[in-house]
Amino acid sequence: MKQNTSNGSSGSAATFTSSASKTQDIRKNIVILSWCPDPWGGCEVLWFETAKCLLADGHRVAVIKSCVDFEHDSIKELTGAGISVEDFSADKSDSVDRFLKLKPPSWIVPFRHRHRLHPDFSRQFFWLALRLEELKPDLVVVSQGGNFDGTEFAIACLRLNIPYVLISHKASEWIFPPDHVREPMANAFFGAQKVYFVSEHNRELTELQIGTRFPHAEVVRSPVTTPVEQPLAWPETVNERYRIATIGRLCPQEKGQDILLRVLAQNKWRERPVDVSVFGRGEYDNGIKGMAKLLNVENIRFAGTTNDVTDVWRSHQVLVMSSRAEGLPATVVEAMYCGRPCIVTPAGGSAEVIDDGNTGFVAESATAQGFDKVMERAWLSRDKWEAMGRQAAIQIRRLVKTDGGRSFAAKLIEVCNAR
Amino acid sequence: MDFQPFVKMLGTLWGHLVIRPYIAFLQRRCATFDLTVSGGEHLASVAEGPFVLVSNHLLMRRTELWPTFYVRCLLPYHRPPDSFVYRRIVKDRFDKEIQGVSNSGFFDSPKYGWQKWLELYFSNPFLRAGMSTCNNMILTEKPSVSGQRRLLKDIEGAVSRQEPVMIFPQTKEHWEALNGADDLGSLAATVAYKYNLSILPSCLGNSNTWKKGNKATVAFGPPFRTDGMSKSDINKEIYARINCLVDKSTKREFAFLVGGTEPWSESDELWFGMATHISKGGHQVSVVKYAVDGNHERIKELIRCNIDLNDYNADSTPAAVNYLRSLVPYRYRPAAWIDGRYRRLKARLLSINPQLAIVCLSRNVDGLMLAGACLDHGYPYILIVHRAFDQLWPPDPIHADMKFIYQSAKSVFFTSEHDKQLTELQIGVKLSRAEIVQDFYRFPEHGPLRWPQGESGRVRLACLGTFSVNEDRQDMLLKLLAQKKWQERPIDITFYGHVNEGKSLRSAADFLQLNNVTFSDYDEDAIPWHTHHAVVVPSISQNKSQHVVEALACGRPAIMTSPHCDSEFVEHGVTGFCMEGQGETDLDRVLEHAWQLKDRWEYIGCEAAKRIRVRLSPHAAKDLAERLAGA
Repeated sequence: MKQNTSNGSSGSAATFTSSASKTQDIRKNIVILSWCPDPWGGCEVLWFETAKCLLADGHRVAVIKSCVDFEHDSIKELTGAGISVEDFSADKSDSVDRFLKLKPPSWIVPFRHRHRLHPDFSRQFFWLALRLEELKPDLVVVSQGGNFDGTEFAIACLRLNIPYVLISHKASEWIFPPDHVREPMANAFFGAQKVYFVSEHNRELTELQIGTRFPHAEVVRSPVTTPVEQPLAWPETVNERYRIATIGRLCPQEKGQDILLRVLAQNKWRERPVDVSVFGRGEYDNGIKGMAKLLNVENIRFAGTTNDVTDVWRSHQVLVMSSRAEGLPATVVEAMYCGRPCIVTPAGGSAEVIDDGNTGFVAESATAQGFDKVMERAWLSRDKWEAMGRQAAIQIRRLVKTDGGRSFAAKLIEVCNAR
Repeated sequence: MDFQPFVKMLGTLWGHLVIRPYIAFLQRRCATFDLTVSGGEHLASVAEGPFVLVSNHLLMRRTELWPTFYVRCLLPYHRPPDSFVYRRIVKDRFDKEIQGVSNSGFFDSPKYGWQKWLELYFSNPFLRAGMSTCNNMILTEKPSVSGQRRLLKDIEGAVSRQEPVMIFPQTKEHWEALNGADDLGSLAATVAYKYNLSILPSCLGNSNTWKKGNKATVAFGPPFRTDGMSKSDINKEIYARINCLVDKSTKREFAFLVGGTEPWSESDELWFGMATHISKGGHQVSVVKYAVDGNHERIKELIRCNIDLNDYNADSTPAAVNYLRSLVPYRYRPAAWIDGRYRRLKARLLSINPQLAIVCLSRNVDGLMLAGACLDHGYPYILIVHRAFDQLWPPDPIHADMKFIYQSAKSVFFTSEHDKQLTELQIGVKLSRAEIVQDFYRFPEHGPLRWPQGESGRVRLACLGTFSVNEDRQDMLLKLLAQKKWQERPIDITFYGHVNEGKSLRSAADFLQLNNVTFSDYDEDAIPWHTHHAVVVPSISQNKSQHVVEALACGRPAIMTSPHCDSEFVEHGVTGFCMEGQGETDLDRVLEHAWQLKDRWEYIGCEAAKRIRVRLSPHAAKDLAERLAGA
């Protein structure tokens, strides 16, 4: 079987099985399975930092991820450090398969079994099972971008009897698992050694969606990727105009940019000295830009992606996030680290790190009406933004630590040792 | 005996002996014209009839559709390739191989131009002999005045000999042709005017027009030679003649293209009412739908009304043929094989040949393929959109298509202002031809029901929907009920839905330890309003549903939230409770408000029953049908 292993790292994965017996009890084999529809997403920071810490502690780490971009800086960093990274979503069929199509004609197969002919699903998971058996991990870390998109990974581990922990980086009130997903989802959660969520909100929502409490659930915080020692200096208003930033993938159904645009389209916001910068890209770029044009929102600027978030906070005073679904948004944590107050919706864990009215503003609902109210409230107390930013910086340093990767690595080793 | 290896071998042989040499042949041919052509989309099938190019084809409006156009013209498919789906499915390959050719000025440059690809076209070995009988190929770029006269003479000669004429206008834009910028379009109009020919606003691929009477099919536009008459007079006359042709046939053909994959849903009632009404008016009505369930009562009624039903999901291709097709490597398969469903849809549409297609979308981003088929064939269409959701947005790959489809529609009918505004936001364009129409509602035959006497003073609410939590948001209501204040109040809620669904919701209710919640199967005959005091609607998707209308008509107030409270439907405090908003807190607010006024519910219910019958017309389908049939 063809392995899609990155250059120079194929050896490390293969050596797992022949590890020296002396150190076997100390050095653990950890495999990270990450499901993310993009080459790199915010949900991958936690396992990325953890993998580096585990490697530094002498453990063996292998990563199997969907949609790998081997040119991405983070992937390069991992492979450079000797961690094998494999692409789960790459085509796993070989040339013989492709030519001969090793499957019986569909009309011979009874209808109820036809889905088994689906070439991608079965083959990918067949490959995954083989790889996992080869790697013989002590623990598999299944990292999912949502709260049930990595269910198949977990089920694969369950079938192979490999211990695993499950991380859910987001839960959405708008995406309720349908009936046919609920049962495997519940199996995946209860089969895990530990279940990690990034916010209490996500834990509660997932419990509600499955209809059971998770006694083995825990909330972990993703590490801060761009920690600043001290909050940044408060940016002066240019021409007496306030600068507000919103950072995130352009995806209205999750990030709710349409909510923000609807609020900004009101006359009162047009007349106020406010400039809004939108940082981020996504598959809804044209739609959102077209919407801004239609609503004639002129004080908005689409700034594309940015590599340095601190740069944004040197020139912007407030973060605004009108999301419909979140885990714990890294952008909120980073903005607060930089000493900027945030205006957010109650989606995800934002409300858990923001003290409404003291270190930021939390809307009562992720709707245009709810967000309009909170924006109005924030605007009326704009004189306090600077002081709130200072408070936010103190509060976030207490709640979210910069060494989230290390503490999570320790938790994983604890899980391994507990077995 | 296992035939499988043998069949596989056959497939491989077919590929090696037939397909590959043919592709190589095409590639060699193309090499002589300095063109890069490769891939299975050039696999010819049986050519049926000559193809006609006219300047008024819708495809000409969009430059990004030109590549498709090129493929279409170049290849003598017996059906045009599935351009709309084709672009979406094999987009990457398409961009690389085809668009490259088109973007390099294929049509404009004298090096390639129309003549070149026509030569290429005729080089096709599978071309039917019938094609060569058409000798009148008029190919030119911007003819001079003398050139125009000569061309006119040629055309006149051909027309007098009753020969078909093919005109290839050298224009990029549809409106250029109509405004006289395209000399050939004008020329055609002049000929038609002079010889009193039928002017058929024909479209590409519609070879039926060609077959009828072997008449010239021409593009029309304002004539460039006025012969003493003013342009506007001649224009008027030409268009009057077209209208006359159309008016002659009092019997019109309508096609209802119905989106959605469910056998029947609430949103199907509107088109059902329209179709039956139009059919009773003596017009020909056809319905093209996904998965027609012959046992459904409504479908049976459609059959009784002599309405032609087409199922574009049903594949009549024998399974063995499909299997043989699957052996052909993907890159050698013709576009027509790639999405059979779309191919079938277009074939059905072509056989119906409607004067107006009515595309019914249950959600604003679903079923765009149906409108795409109309666009590809050049049939005029209107859109009826039943719902739009905040959590359902068109991603960039379909954003441009969706915008174009909505803009190209003759009319777009929405059933609520919210849906219209949201759709406009999503596509980023104000739809000038959009209108709000009332959905179709059935009113119960009886009047308001007697007010139920609750057991020991308990208030009973009903929440009706589909148990599809993502849309109907019953989870919000459950979370509210878990609050202490609602637990302490004497209130019961019954969720109605389909019996086999809603496991997630039931387990969520168990999880929240809600004792005052029950789940029940919705039965049309046993309406819940004998025993329930009010209807509660947690999501805007059900705000204007049949259930709510039924509840109001039975004298039960509705409790709901909405981004735009529509007083026509539920008047806050008068016929129910409706507050602005969509979130959990908004729902809590309106429930609380309703609870405080629960003593007035009976009176409000009576008022609702009176007003709803006045405000909503029970003939919405009929009204809309008459409007379309008369247009």
